[in-house]
Amino acid sequence: MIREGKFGVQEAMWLTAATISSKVFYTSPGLITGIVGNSGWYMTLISMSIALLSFTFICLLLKRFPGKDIVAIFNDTMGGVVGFAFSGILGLYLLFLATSRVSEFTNVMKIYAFPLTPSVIIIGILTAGVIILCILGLEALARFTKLAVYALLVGYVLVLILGVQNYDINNLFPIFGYGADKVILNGILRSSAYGEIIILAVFAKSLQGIHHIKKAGYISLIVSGIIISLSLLAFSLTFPYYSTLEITAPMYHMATLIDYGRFVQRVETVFLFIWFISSFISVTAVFYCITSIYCKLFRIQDAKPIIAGSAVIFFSIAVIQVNIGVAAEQTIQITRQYGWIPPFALPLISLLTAMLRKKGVVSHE
Amino acid sequence: MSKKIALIVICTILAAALCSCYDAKEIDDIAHVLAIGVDKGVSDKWRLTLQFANMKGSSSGEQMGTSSGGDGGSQDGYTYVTVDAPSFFTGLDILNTSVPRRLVFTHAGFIVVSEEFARDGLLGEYIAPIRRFSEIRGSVHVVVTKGSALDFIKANKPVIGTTLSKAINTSAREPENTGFFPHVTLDDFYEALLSTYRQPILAMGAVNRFENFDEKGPKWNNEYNPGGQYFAGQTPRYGENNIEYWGTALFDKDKMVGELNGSETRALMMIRGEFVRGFFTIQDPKEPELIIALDIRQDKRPRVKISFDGDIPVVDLTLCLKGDMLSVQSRLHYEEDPLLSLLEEKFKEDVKEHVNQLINKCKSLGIDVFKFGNVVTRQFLTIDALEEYNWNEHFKDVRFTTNVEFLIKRTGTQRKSYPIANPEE
Amino acid sequence: MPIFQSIKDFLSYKEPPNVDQFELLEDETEEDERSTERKQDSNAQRGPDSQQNSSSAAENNISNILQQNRLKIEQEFNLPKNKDIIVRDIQIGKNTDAFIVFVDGMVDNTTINDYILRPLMAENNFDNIGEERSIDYIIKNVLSVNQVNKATTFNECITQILKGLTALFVQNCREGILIESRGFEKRNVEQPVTETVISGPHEAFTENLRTNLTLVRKIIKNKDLITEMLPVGKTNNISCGIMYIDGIANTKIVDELKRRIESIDIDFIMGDGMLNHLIEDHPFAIFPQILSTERPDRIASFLMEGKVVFICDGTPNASVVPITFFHMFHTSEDSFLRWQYGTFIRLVRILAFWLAILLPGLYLAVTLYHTEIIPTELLLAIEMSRESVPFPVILEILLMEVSFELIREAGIRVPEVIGQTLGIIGALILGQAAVAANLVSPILIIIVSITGLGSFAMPNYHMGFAIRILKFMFIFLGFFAGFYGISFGIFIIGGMACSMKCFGVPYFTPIAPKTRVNPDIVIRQPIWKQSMRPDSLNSPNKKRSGRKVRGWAEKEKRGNRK
Repeated sequence: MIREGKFGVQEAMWLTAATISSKVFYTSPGLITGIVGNSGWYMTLISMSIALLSFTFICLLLKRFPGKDIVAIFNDTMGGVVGFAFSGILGLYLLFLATSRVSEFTNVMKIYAFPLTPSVIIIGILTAGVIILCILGLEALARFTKLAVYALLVGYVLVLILGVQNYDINNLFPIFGYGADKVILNGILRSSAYGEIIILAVFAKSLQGIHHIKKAGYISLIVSGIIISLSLLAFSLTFPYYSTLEITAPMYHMATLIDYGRFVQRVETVFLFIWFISSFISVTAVFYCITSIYCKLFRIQDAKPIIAGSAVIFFSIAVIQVNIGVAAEQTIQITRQYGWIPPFALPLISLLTAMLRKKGVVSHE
Repeated sequence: MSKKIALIVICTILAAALCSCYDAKEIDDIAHVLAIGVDKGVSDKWRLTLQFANMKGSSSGEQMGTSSGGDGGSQDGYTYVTVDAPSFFTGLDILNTSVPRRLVFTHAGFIVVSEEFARDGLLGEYIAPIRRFSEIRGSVHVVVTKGSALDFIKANKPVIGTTLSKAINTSAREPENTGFFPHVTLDDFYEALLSTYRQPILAMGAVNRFENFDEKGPKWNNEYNPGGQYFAGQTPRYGENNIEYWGTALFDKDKMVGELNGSETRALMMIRGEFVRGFFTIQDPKEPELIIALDIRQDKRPRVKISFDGDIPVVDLTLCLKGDMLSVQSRLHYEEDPLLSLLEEKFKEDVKEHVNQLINKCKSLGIDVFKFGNVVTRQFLTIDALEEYNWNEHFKDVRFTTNVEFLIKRTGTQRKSYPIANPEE
Repeated sequence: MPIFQSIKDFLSYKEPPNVDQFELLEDETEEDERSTERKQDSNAQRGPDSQQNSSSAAENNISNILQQNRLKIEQEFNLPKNKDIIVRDIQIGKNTDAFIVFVDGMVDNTTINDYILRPLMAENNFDNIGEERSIDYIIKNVLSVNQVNKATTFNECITQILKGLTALFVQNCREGILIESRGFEKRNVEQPVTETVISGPHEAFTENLRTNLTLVRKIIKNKDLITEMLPVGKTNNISCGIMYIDGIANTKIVDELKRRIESIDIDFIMGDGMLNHLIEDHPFAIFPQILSTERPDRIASFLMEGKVVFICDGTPNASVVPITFFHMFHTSEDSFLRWQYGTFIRLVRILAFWLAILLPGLYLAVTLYHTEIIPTELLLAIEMSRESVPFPVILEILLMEVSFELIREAGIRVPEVIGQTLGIIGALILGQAAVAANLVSPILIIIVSITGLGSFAMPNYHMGFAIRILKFMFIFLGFFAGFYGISFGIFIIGGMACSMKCFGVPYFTPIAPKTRVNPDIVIRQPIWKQSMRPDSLNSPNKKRSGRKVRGWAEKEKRGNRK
């Protein structure tokens, strides 16, 4: 089958955490604050708990079928046609996730860093990087993530710490934002922000055993929850609720304000590295899962020729999204509301079916 | 396999190269704007003035003749251009056709606006394009000037050294040393514009034509003068430097409604918690003709407690200051009790008086520039409740009490000073 | 046509070959079994190689008749055309015919004259010969040489003769005697050329395999240190010695190494440089995967960690497998200094690595795309200095970098006398004059020199080359897409490096994948904390030292409490 290699808990954990948290650099914090005011930072913790709960169900499902990944499990529990459909929905969901991430990234980059470069080149370079690393394999990606994550974390913490001079605790009040009910409702709906955790289920065969998957999944959800929450907290501390709505890329703007003395000014370009590398990593991880699902659906043994073809499709969809511009953003908004269905609801349905039809191995601990 | 990977990489890079690099701006193709000035224009709606380095200063060992201060507006390697245009970006385009290099704003140091412009409430209109433009950063210093911005920029020269950018940067940080004008950035101002619970302020600047400095005339008698009561442009001084920053401009949303002089600004900074350090002179309590100078710093951030009496807000403000003694002209022993406490009380009274005067002045204008509104947000649970209450409306009814905590910590290099022996009559 | 063929190859799909990836997995029980096997097997030195008897066995065997042996030798060695081989006919004990064969120049004349010929020709040595076969008698009683072996086939003899031994053939004996008599000219043990240290041994390897093995054995006097010899190079027949410590090294690595070396089918190998390239896992990758060093103390420390070393005749280098990326930054000096100093030096080296790769690319990216980061005064100063330079920045940088590489390459070949002048010429021409002529801006000189210094600071010579090549790649990437291009480059190179495996050990162990904490990657912890061998090698003996390494410190504490 596809050579997915083996890697350990730490690498899987950091890969998933990087994939989930790299969305904090783009437009979503601004949009969240628009909806719930300055209580975004604990709203996301609510989302995280919902995601943790759903991940428990995914783990239960994986435990019943040790050594198999989610496509095979869907096939087993739901039968050929429905399983195919479920996996297809999951694949399409991941495709949409990756391309919307790419288009968001391109838009933010074009506004702040590269205004004149045509978006085709930006997306092209990104796709080239994605192709090369997918050819090299998932192991290489996971190891590189583990290596790069030290620098990424240091840079991220540095942005938060250096921004201290702009924090004002009063910006966090009123504490309930636009109302506690809105906070809780949106918290539940927006648990789709952590939907990328499903990629752990897709390459479940590379991790040795359900125990590792559990550990990697829980810890990565908690870590990414902390990262997203901290950045939203820093963001709410810096800007009061009425000006957050307007900002396109909040983290970048926060970095712009760092100003210590004559020398440490205008340093936000240094943090560009972190954003670029984490975007590369997250897009590659999701793209790899898409290719992997496709190959497993159609029982293709070797993924390498598929990668080139999928990359072309991916590139085209990303370019279309960028060109649509505003309309794409609306679509993204709608998807965020319902985006929790493929990663959380589908495995849940599969689990219930498995329990009803008494499929799979039930381990007695 | 690796050959194929290498081929892909090379092809990608070549493809990128063939499309050419759009964003690469050679460093000598751009001109960096250091200061931006906005006025009401005569031939068109805005008058835009941009000051940038013209690269005619001395470079790498070659000492060309110093550029003469001709009427082209070149000053020590800097020059300015000005244009009347219907909007900011059109003006920029027009200027770009006459300046050989592309003007780039990433290193702009400050934006200066004329008072006329501010009083007409045009800042709200003007700020919109600036805020959205990614090149102008949120950390530029914004100044309101008496007179026109064009004169201000004309007079903007580095007094020490030849680099204008250094001069701009260091003068923007002067508030830390004196407290006579606030350091307000574009982001600060913009936030306050949008805010539902506070009002913006800006630093005040002016071109001092040295009118208040009388070279000849009767000498001053011994009247006490605290020294901070001037408004911008009126300080009695003389010398190289025409530009000065002094005082604050008060805004009610985007219209300028008032101005504060030096001492009032200091009080404002203390209340906002932004005061860092300054020298104060107060009248000697025992000998009113002489003064005592103190070096005052803020000990802790001011404590603000807000409660509600029905609909009326009640503010309890406590300022925490500390100071060192700088000079005791009367040479009395103020370093120890009971004179020490007397001195401390005198200072506290002085500060209280200034603070009360200032808050009353702002109450009459109906604007809260003290960031009390920030503390009020703690009293409400949701944003809707806060906006319903509308703090800006209720500020003019506020009742407040001021307390000052002040201690003199050190007395300088002298423990005590003894009187000068009287010369024999 | 080859180009069409390659395009067709590129576009069409090929099944990937079913090559077994060599993986170093942990299985404890298998290890114990095999190591005990090995211990029982051979403590004696395995003699020279196991040559296959390809040609018919009969012809290969030494015959009884001396004349036949003589003819065979002449035929094999192309005598009398080949003047290097000498055949000396003698009579043993005044009654038996014999002859010796040796290579002129590779033997020590004193050994042959005094210790082989003289005792053989002396009459009274053969008085007590009884029923014993003469070969055994000669070996036991006559030859006063320390190493003597019997041989039954011609191939054995020929190989050993070419190595410098002397072969003795006696009438009526089916065996030949191989006598140790090596004494060829070789260089003395000298100071290391490329890896100098301040506080540490100053011995380096030479071109002779026996000397090199001896240098290592002087440091590790362990009975389990095994040297296995393999021949490499079908035509030039040099030996390659594989050293490892039995019980510490994982035998799988040794087997894999032997498998790879034995399967090489090439006619000429000179030294371990060529051998490295033939047995590397990823010959097309940019980073080196086998470390080669000329210091015996480094080899000894690698052996102690459980790595496998192989040394070839012909170059003063020894190679070590399996190697990770971080080993390229270590020198032996780090172990001889205190841990604080060792850590400090290592940090400096890592800084040098990053500077050497990224600095020109970053400069390009910053001045072309992201000028905001530079403080305004510096920016205006740079602008001022570039006012009179006619070239765009990319051309300036390429000019300077290429000239720097030219100087570097020329400096290696310049005779010592002119060496000093070249440095001055280089500095003058490239530095001062270029700036004064407004060809380059002064800040570029600084950047290029710091980059050059950085690449010189790399302890591993091959890694230095990798850095120089990568630097050019990053220059182009920085020029095309600023920071985005540079992060793309980091992503790609990092990914490629992470996908490499060297003899089953991933290239970035122990950081990715995570193995047990190795106190010796970047920060060098004190030597008493390095008590376990690196986890990734799965060696059978993991503990290096006892729990109380500094026994004197522990005892004192207890004493004080009383």
